[in-house]
Amino acid sequence: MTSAFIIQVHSQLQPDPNEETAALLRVLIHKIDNTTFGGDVPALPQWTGPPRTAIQVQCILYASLATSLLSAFLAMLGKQWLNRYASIDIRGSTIERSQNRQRKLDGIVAWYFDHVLESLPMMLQGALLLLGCALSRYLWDIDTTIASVVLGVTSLGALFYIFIVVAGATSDSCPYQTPGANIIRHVIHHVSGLRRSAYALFVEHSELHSMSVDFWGDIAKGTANAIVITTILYPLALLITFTIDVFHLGRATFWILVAFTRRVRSWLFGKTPVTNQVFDNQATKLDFHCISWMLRTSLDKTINLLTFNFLKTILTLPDLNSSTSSLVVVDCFNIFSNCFVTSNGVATTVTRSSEQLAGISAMCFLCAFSRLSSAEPTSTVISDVRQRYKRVFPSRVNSEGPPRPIISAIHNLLCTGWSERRRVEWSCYNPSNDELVPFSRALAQAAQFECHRDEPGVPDWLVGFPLRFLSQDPLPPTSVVIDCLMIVATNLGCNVADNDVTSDERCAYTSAIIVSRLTLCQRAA
Amino acid sequence: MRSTQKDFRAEFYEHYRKEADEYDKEFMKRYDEDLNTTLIFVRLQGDAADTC
Repeated sequence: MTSAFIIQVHSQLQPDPNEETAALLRVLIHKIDNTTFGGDVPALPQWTGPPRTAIQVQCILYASLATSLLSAFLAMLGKQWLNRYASIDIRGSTIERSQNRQRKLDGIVAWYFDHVLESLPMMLQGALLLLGCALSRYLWDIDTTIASVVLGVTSLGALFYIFIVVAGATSDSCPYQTPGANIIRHVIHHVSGLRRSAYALFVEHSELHSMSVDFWGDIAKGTANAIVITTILYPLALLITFTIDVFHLGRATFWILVAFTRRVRSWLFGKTPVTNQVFDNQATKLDFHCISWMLRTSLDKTINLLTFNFLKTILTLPDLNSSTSSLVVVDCFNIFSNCFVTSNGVATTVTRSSEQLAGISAMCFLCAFSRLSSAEPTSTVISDVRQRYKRVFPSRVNSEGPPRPIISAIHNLLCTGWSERRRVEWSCYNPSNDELVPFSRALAQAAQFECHRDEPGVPDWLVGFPLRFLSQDPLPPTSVVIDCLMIVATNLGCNVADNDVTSDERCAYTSAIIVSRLTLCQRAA
Repeated sequence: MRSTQKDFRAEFYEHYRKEADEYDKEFMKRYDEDLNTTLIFVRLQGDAADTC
């Protein structure tokens, strides 16, 4: 329809040959017989270029045509992309194919594939709107009455569209959802998040804080905060996030180039720079991605239990890259907190089957969280989880599923104040080895983080753990003894770099540190 | 320890495959229909152009 209309308007862009012929004929007749047109002398019309309206209409029309063609082109590409995603392009076992699929799915999220596909209908809607505008503008010059009909319908459609976008953005349950509504909701969410982070930044720099409070004098503190945030920190935060985005993009490009160079080098010189170790790490990382997706997607309790069992075995591996565990921390916490229901300030597990789930998710969360906190103490995931813990869990937890010390350990690691920490009764805790091994591992890692958090030294509740299990007869498994010794070493002020030590060296290393430390203490005494 | 991990891994990926197939089917259906609608709409514009 657009193209037919374009042809119609196109004739106005060049001089009309018929009109010129008629004018020439008129001149000819005038030459033959001067009396035909009375006193008038017919002149040859001068072509003064196309009328302005025609150019305007033509611009809008071509924009509309180009947009709809472009969206058709992208839709065609999109179908190809989708087919590529669905195709199995790797030969191998179920595990390899699943990991490959997970990699592709992560790519889809990272590259905003769904946003791109959802923008296609939006482009078509834009094309339609442009067509309506062009039509009304064109008809306006010809006849106002006809134009008003088209104009009325177009503006009615546009108004309706704006209305449903706003309605869709304000309410999730509104059935008239459009991609535009999603964008608006996203922007609002992003801006409020930015505001919050700007505020956190602001509170952190207490100097600035006290200064501004002095400056604003009588104005209430809250108002002062709001004004300073909106005027100074908000643009600043925008700038910072933009810089960070650019930085990330630059870093990603750099790494792509590095990987490409390596690939070319290995291709040229026939060497494979990928060692077995790296491959192992890659596989574990993909395992984490798969587990994270599974925990987010599956609602089945038995599948979740199975996933957690697998996760537990991975988390207790000694040679694990710690930063990868940040992927699953939030997912574990989600499932863990969903196992509880809060009434009258007491959190209780919901049903019998969820008790088991609560136990194992608590353990996995503890392991992943302590790994993350010892590897990256400044990670934003940690503070996010702390905030959510504060919101979700009231002061008392009625734990029937997970053992009490695990719940208390999670509480003590996640609570924000020194005074909120609970005592842990280690004396009546008799776990199986299956539970004790990952638990002690998690506590040993937590101790490294905890000893720098509020005041120097490992908190009392954590010190109780080695006291309880080192005094046990017979002694618990070797790895538990090592972890107990590590907690003691951390408490004595040794910097036990756990990540550099492999499992075989850990025993000798830890005992050496403790012996040296004890000798030092003896000498000092 | 390693062998139990392998067992868990194999079992996990079996379930993963099932879940992923289900999810992907939904995913594909949704976007495929969206793209078909887009193509039909563009086609309609073309048809209308022919009749004009």
